[in-house]
Amino acid sequence: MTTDQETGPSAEQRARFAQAWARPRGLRRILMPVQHKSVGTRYMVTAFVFFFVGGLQALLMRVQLAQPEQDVLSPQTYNELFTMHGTTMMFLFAVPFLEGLAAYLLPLMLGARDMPFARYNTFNYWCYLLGGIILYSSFVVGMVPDAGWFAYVPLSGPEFADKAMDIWLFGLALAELAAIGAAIEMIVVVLAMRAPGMSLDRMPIFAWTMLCVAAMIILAFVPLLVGSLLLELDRNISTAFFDTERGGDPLLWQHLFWIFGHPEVYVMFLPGAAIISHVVPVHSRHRLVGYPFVVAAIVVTAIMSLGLWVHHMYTTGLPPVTLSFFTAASMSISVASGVQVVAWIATLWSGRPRLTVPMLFSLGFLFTFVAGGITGVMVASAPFDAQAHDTYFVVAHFHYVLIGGMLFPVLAGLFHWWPKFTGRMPSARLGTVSFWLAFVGFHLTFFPMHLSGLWGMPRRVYTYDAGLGVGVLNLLSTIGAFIFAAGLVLTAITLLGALRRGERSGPDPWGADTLEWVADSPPASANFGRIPVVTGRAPLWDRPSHDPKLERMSAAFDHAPQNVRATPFTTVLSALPNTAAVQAGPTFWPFLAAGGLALAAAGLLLESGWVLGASVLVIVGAFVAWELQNERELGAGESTEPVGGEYLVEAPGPLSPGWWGAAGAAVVLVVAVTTVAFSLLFLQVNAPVWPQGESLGLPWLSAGTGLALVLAISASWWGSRQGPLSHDAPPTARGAHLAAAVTSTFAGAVALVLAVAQWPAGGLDHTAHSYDSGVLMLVSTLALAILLGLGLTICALLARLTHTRDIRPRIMLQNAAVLWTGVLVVWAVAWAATDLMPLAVV
Amino acid sequence: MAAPEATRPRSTRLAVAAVLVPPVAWVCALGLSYVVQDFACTAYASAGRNPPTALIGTAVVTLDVVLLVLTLAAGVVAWRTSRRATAGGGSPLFGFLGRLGLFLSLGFAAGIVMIAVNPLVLEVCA
Ligand code: HEM
Ligand SMILES: [Cu+2]
Repeated sequence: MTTDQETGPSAEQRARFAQAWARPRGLRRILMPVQHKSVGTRYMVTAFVFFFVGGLQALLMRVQLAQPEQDVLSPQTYNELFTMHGTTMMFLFAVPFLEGLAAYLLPLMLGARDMPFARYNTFNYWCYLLGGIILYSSFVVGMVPDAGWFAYVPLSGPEFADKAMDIWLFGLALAELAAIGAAIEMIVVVLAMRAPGMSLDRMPIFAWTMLCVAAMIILAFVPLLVGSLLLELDRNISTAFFDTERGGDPLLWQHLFWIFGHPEVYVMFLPGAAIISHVVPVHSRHRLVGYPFVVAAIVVTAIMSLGLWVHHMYTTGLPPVTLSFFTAASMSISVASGVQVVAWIATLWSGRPRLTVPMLFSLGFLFTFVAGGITGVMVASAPFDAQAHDTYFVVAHFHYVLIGGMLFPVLAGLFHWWPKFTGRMPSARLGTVSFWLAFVGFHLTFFPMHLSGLWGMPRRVYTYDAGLGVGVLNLLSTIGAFIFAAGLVLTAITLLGALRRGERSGPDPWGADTLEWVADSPPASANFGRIPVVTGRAPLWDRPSHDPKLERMSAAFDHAPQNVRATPFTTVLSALPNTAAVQAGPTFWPFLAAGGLALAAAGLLLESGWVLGASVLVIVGAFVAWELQNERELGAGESTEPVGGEYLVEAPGPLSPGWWGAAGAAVVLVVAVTTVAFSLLFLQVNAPVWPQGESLGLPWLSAGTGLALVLAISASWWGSRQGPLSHDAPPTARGAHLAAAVTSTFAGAVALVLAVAQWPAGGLDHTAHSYDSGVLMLVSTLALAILLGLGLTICALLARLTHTRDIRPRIMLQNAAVLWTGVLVVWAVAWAATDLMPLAVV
Repeated sequence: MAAPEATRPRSTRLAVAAVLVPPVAWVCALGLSYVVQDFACTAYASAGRNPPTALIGTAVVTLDVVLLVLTLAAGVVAWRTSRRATAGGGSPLFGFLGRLGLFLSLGFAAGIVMIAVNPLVLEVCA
């Protein structure tokens, strides 16, 4: 392990390095920080605030249910409370908390200095916060969503739900947008920003997990975002996606929701399990047993969870073969989870476990999770599910999985990393008491629910009949809930109290193995003055071996570079030195951009054209200012020189973060349009006639759009290959970049016009039939994709016009070409869905 | 020691492919089996006609068998990668990739088998 002690940079260089990484001060501290630790902390704190709000709602419900036939709460209030409780816990607490933990820990664990797109990271946080605020504004305006956390149509459709549902949908859309952005960040940091030498086989389990989770988020959250949009369109402009009368189908919502909803459970459980895979080895002083098995189990769980959505629809009358496909997958997942459980037990067995607070929570997790898994296997068998469906058995089951599988590990993780986050040790005595309160309270709350469910108590009822005989069980649940809550409040007191009174911890109080424990506690703004070199899976436990190639990179980045924030970029498989990735500094624009989006949502909710118009100005202005600031800062000082004379500051292709970002955006777009296409296919096979009238049938316009897109790709690709790979290119190359950017922008604009023209030219009526609605949706998706492509191309143009670093426009043009290629795929899928699919009739 | 990246690019590519193929194959098996079976049956039902169940069943099974073979082939490649890495005293990275690929291939192959038997033991389009 090599750290800062060796002599290297002078005091003056160190000071300049610290200056480059300085955190904003004063008022600017509130809206401007972009560094992963402040963003991560904000995520986690906000998520916990929401957790306590959601918990309060749960307590209110438990008070109402404590005795039969009470009316502390009206039925309507009860509906609102369980809806907001479920929504808050799933969308505003669990997933965002884990995103925050990942934002905080991943760079530290991997030996990087920040997340790849620090400003975008911040933007995502603001989207999430504002989404949450929009959702909770429903209490202020007295229109609280009440359709349950999965908002089934038609209950959530235009006939039955008022504006409350729009609030729910907009709040959620912003939170989903944030999750998708966080996923792109996680993929890039894990694949390309690991410390030199951290080959894939040496990567911490948490990093493997977040990589898989990020892939799941992209594949699962995008369909939900699409689903929310479809519902919003049905509600506000009378499209027909979920309306049976006009060729729609309410089951489509269930599919789209559960394609998200089931993986969501694993998006929560897998990081929970990963926390355990770090806590158990450290607190047993033994390496995780069966590392490759655990990695394989994570991949299997992540992938298979994508295929399980239908098991939430066992009782909707799907054909038996369809169901059995999915039962098979459910069972396979249990095996994969079993593998992880065995690995943890074997680690405990071979090590010397210490009963620290994190360890206690881990053991609580193991116990609870295994119990929840058993009931899960029961629920997963279709016949049993038909019986227990919509009873308290299910409520008990999912709280076992969610609290056992996610909350306990998160608490274990908080106690484990608290010294790293704050530099102080939380009190072990208070921590132990809060564990026992939480553990006992939890089981007392939820175990009796299995029984009340089996005895016939349905879920989502605001009260029950004394004759049902479940009064005592419910009273126990309510008492348990208060004990549980006391445990959680005590946890909060313990942790917050440690901020002032806790013992100082030093960098590595637990004698842990991963890189975050090399950094100071709390870590300095740049995390690592000297980037660590990794030569084993447990860098702090292994004896370091020497590798001159890796050490050269570490030395080159020793308190360097000093005029610009940068971190090493390394190869995907072996993490060999590659280039230097520039990291952005504090700025205000991401906040403004997210605020603009929230303002747009407000404008739509208030149905105010003025607000909407203003929001568009804010959004466009914020993004333009953001981009100009990027270019200005990159133009400055040292960023033209390779770091240490060797590592290029930005390089074309996968050697710098932008390429990954463009590829990620392209994938998101393709997933989105594929979801729309599949939704249409689903409606088509369920409809007796499809389409009802004419199909779109505008081959020339469509082909023209495609051609324009091909031109945009070719122009930007050609431009990206002009001139040498260095910072001063001859004037001809500069001219070529400019010409390419202009041509590509022009081609994109033409594509946009042609794509949009399809709608009026087609003469369809989106309120007439779901096919027509689908065409509108596809055209809009294509238009949005083209807009993104145009945005990136215009950035390239701005880059060419604003600075002298000639490699930058080149790279940006290449990124634009990547994104345009994604747009072309979007076009192809959209065209297939509007024109080819209707031809397939039986 | 850092593992040598791509001493031979071809074997690197094979090792990586052996890790990626099984999950992709499983997703295709589930997705296509579901879409072919469910969508075809539903389409016929909506049109008020009898579905060609034998054809649909055969299509699903054939598809799954092809994907199964791919998955198992990936397993063989992975196994050889891992053997070569350990025999050569060589790169721990490739040893790991080989083992990972092997486990994934076995796990997802089992998953594909469970998907493929469904149309054989249950009535298609019931
Ligand atoms: C603090 C302890 C908690 C208590 C006492 C509690 C209690 C409850 C109660 C009473 C319901 C309503 C059941 C019904 O009427 O059908 C409910 C629903 C739900 N809870 Fe919790 N809960 C707790 C924590 C959590 C956590 C941590 C999560 C997720 C991470 C969660 C997720 C949900 C979900 C998704 C629903 C379903 C909402 C719906 O039906 O739309 N809960 N919970
Ligand atoms: Cu599920």
